Amino acid sequence: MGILTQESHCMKQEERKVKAMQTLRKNIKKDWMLLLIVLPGVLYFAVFCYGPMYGILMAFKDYNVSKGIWGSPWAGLKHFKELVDSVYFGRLVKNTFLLSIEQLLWSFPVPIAFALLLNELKHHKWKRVAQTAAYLPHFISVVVVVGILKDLLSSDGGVLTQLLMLFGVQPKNYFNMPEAFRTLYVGSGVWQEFGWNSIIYVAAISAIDQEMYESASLDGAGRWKKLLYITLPSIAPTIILLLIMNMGNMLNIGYEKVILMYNSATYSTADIFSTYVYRKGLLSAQYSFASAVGLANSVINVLILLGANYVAKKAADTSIF
Amino acid sequence: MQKKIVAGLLSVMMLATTLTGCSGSGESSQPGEETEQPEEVSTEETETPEQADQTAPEDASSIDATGTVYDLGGLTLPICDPGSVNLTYMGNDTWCAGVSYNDGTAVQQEIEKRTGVHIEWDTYSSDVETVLQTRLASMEGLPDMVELPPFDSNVGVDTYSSNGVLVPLNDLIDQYAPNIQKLFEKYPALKAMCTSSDGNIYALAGWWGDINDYVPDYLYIRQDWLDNLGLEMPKTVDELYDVLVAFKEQDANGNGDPGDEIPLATKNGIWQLYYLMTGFGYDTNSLWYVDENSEVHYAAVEEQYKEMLTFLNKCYAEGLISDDLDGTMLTQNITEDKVGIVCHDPADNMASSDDLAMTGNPNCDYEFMPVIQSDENGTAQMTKRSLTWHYYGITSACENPEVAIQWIDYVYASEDGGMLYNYGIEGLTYKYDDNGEIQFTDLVTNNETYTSAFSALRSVGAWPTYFINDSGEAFMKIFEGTKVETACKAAYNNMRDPFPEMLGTAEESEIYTSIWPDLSTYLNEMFTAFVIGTEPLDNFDKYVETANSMGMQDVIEVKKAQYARYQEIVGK
Repeated sequence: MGILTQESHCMKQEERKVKAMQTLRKNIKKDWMLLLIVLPGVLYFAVFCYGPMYGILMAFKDYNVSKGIWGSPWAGLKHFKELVDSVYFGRLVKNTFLLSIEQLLWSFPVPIAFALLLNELKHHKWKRVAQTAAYLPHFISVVVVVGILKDLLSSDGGVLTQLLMLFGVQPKNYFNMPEAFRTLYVGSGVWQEFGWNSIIYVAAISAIDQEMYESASLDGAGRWKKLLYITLPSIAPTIILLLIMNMGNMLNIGYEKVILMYNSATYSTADIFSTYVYRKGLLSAQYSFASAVGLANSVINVLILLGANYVAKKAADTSIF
Repeated sequence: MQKKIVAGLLSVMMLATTLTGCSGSGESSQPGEETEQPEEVSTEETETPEQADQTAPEDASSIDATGTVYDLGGLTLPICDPGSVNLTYMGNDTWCAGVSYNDGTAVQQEIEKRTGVHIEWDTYSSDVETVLQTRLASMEGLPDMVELPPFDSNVGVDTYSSNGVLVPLNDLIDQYAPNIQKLFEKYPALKAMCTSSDGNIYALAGWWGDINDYVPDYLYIRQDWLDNLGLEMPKTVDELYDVLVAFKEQDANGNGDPGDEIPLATKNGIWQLYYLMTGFGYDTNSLWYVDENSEVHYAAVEEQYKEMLTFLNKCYAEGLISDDLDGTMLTQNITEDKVGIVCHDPADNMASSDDLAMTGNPNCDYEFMPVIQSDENGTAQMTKRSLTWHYYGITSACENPEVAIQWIDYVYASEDGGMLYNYGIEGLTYKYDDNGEIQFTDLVTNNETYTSAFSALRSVGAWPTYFINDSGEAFMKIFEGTKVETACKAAYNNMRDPFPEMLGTAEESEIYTSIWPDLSTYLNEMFTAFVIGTEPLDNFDKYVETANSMGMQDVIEVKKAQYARYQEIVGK
């Protein structure tokens, strides 16, 4: 009896396996085109995102170039300790967070507002002109943007300095003021990217069904009401999606622009993790230490992402997973 | 991290394209200029230099194609059968916009013709350190010869020799490199700085010892401004102060606006103003220095240093020092005829600064300043620039190290290689006049694209960035009859030797790399804070205390040990 049931069980399992294989084959045959389309994406993530994760090991080792990642001796949490013990650790955390938050606070809503305003422009030609003019700065190299900024704000003869002088403000070199650094960094970033970042919202708005506006008009809704009750709710999923993704990237501020903008007078607000890694890790060939800082940064990013996703799920019922 | 590096590379590449975009316009005129060269030299043999430029050097037999062959010091050429050995070199590209070793230059092709060794160049003109670090760290596709990152530091030698990337060169040099041996005998300091703590030589240091005997690096001042205001060249701190105030308050450049002058500016950052320490009881302008009892000191944490900071603070508060703290606007300000004194720049840049300001003010005349003294009887002297910066090595991937070391021996240390290095190619960049003196051709002295003789020489591949060994004599030849020559002659034999940068032991390197990056950030930050007044000078003692708590004394101990080893090898 027992043997029999076991046998039939085996048979069933075998059958199920065969069946599963058949369905799989059928599915592949049916959807091979879709699978082909998704293949490059899968490969991309496998090769460029999952593959290199092996390198994380470096953070826990004393990396030796000739022994390779696996062969290098283990170092435990030595490099993380070194990071936390650094006299600058507290300042780095504070600066990185504040700069990220300020960046998010300004660079996130401005493109939305711009896209909404653009939507209200009824003249097609002007809409195009405004949009193009707004996203052109995106293509300027950050080196040039910082150069322009320095020229505008130069304490002798900069255009902005002279304008401010008209209002009785004494000429100052804002690049030497720690309290001005974040404003300059975020301000120039917003100017450079808001047009480009608004494209996705403009696209989302254009997908809204026009009949909704028409029926709203019949009900007597003005522009403001339409914006509030049709446009905004329609693009809300896009907004939340992008917000969560932005949160995930929050601490990934590159060192290039900061290095171009900071000097020894503004370290106190401008020195962030990535510039610190650049100075200490890259310029003095401390690979393991640099990886440790990078990993710590990524872990914090993931935590923020999960947190943002959780809040969005609870509050707005939208989330990315 | 990976992503960041890629992003960094991309942004730098964008910058690079804009830069080459600017300078590329001149490139087209280059071949035209070469063909205008008189053809007289080329009649003797088959190839004119410009042909050599274009055709691949298949026939390496004609060693004397361009004229004289100089002393090879025991090295035999060609080193190998032409074309039988390929070596790769990775490092900096030319320091000349629009010209790349990767595309080949006349001098490199001449070297290839003479040595028979084909070099595959893998050189970069921007963000070089990051690229090299990444390539070396991955240990894949290692070149045969490499310039070691990070530059301007010897940390890389320790890292990559202990990692097994570099092979020891001692036996190779003894066996195959007679000229390098001679160079070491001539300059014991060079040998000392190439020798690691285990007694091996893993890398050869780029050698500036010769050229830096000639080229002073201090301050230069607008002589025409002094003349305009009827002032004397300042010699003491007090006189310097008076001159700065006069530059500030009176219309020194005579353009009718008394407010646009910047009396004193720095090139790479306000920290460079430590050069003025000669006016405050120090014998010389070097932060690391050795006193008469052979004790090693670091000036920035000593009591006297506060006096200088106090002076600089006063000057800054009165607007006498440029508020462009990192020096990014200096070039522009010089061009706009605004800068009175430039701090911390070698003498030859005086000429290029003249060129810059000349567009706005044809009378512009920068002159080199004498060393600022604390009083009339002061005897402080300038310190020479560092003896070495970049290091170069042969990697474990090299299959023909004996060919590589001979090639290096030729380009780095032989007299014949030195001529190509410093003067270029006979007939193309220089000729001998009737007295047997070297005269540069129009290509160098009258080049439309590259106004400075240096750049012109670099554009054909001379004064390279690989295996640097600059000749002071050639430098003086380039600036013959100019005020740069005058300034250099005045400084010659009148400067102090720089503090030697020795390679550390494993332990020393560990201490140094864990302390110094943070500490130097702190020192730099506090220097700025004291000068621009965000930190009151009363806190100087607290600052010294903090520096010590961050490991200042440990770093000084490391430097002491290294200095002792240096003395031992140099044998003074």
